Amino acid sequence: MNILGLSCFYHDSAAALLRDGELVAAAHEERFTRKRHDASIPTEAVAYCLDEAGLTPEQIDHVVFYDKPLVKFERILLTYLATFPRSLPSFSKAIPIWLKEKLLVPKALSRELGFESDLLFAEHHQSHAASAFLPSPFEEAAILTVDGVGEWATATQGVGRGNHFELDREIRFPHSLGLLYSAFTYYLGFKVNSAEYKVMGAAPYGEPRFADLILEHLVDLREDGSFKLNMKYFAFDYGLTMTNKRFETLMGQPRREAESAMQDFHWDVAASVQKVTEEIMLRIVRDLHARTGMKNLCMAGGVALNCVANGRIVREGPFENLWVQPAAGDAGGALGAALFAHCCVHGQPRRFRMDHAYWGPEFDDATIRRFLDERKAPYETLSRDAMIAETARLMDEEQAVIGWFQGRMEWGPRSLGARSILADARNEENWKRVNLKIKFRESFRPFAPACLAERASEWFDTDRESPYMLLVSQVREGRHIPAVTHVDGSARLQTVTDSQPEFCDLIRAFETRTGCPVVINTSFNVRGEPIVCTPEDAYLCFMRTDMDVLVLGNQVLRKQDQPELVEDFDWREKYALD
Amino acid sequence: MSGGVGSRLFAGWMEIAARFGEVQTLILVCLMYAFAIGPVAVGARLFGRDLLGKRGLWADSSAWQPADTVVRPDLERAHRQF
Repeated sequence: MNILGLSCFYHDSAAALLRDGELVAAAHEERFTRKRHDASIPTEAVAYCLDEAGLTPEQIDHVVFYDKPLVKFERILLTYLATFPRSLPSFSKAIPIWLKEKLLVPKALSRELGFESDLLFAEHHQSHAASAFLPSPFEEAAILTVDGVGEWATATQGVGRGNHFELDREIRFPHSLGLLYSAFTYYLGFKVNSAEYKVMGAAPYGEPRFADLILEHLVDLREDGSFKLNMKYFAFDYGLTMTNKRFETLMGQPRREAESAMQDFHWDVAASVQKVTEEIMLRIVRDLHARTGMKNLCMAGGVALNCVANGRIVREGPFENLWVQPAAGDAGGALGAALFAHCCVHGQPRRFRMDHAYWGPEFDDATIRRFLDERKAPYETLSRDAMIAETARLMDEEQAVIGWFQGRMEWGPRSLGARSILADARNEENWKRVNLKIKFRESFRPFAPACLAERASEWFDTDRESPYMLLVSQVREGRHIPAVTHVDGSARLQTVTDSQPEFCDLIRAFETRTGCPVVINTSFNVRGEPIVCTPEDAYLCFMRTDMDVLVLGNQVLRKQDQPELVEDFDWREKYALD
Repeated sequence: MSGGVGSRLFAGWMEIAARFGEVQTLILVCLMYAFAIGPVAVGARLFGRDLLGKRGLWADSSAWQPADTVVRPDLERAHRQF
């Protein structure tokens, strides 16, 4: 049975294809269209999935959409009823789109995809829960999903056993931890549904002096982790903004202008909302553990990408094991919807365990060389071992910043060694250099370390693997890796095994040279750009920035050998800042 | 030459028509809001309905609610958009 899962229309559209319950391919649409967080129907991701599986559209048994559109529309209409007449501006923007497309999902899908198939619908949080539990390594587990909002639910809890799960409790819109975090993201001048991770990155610079204020006025939090928001301070239910004037009066300052300098106040606000988020998550998981008695926890939903909170759940929470879907946001709903149809609707056994995140396109050396030859880009082809040794040497001896492109592209928002920018983590200068001259992003933002899994506990305060960069750990005292150590001594760790063999061997080679099994691993893109997908994307990103070396498969390109890149437009204007 | 002028005229007309369509849509949507949403909203408010559950919690209550999911999803339910 071939099942195609889809998520789209809101943010981060994606497609995932199962063949007899095994994942064959999964990809985000943004990687193909080069539009960050692209929400359109994922035609290119679907085409890729079909191509990877060698299937024609007629061979698809079910297409599964990741939410129930009519239930979502009910919530939207009731929200407009409840907020009349203040919701007119939002209503006038949203309703035409709903009437034209979102209410006509079957028609829109068949028009854009160019084929019809038996169309199924999963609930939004069922999709998240399925993406969290069904590919996890656990036979049974408690399940927690937390995001902005799906149909009505903003958080759900339940239990999974075998090929089935049941969600028995939920918190409903407008009371939403994801939307609370997004409201502060907006207030701090960052882009909603895009830059929440910047708030998390800013938090360690501040003191959480507003946490009590938030808990006193904005959030009515209970011992079981459930909460209600005081909607007098928010505008997301009726307006085109997330917060209102009353919110600004409460916090004591107007909303920060985008791109303006961050003041102490802003660091403190970020620290405060992060602390409140962690407190809510910890209370929820304690209550969930007490209710279910499970030792394993699976999580998904956008809030599950908050790796600082995840780190605290691992260290302080009662569950023995935690597994988080690497594409925990809405994109992962595509995979969840497909798994839900296979296991829960059709009652088929679970056959797929997700033990890596490399489910996207790959390009062999012949294709890469053809592209480079057409570009007239000078390169050197090495053997695999020589390529790895030379890359490790360049990172160490020349302190080169490397564009690293190997194997299948990652599933999920993180670069995990297939489409990465790499540098020496021991050199503090690399933090500033990669941030300002290569990524063109805010200097405060930290970089993640990629560390050999077998060495992770020697360098970081951790006792478990973190293959998807979803757990934050403290760097052990005496370990000098300043380029990946945040101001509070923490790091967003990726533990590396041979699931991406070239990346693993590269770090091993780097360790042999330097004694350090840790490198900087950041996404292969510039600010506002989706992570690169093809050799062409990688080459353009390499040429537009101060990267020193590009490694495409076994081809090594040095910046000084390349002809000047001539473009008749300013690429900086191509990508909207987040 | 005349083809070029013609296509420019057509493109110009399409732009004007698109703007006109936007204004028309806005008027229709505003009317829908005023005459369909408005009366129901006023009625709900008069009867004290808390449509979004905005009212605060009782001292000892929880915001967790029973989830509206079924134990064994079936194909018929999965075909539905609700």
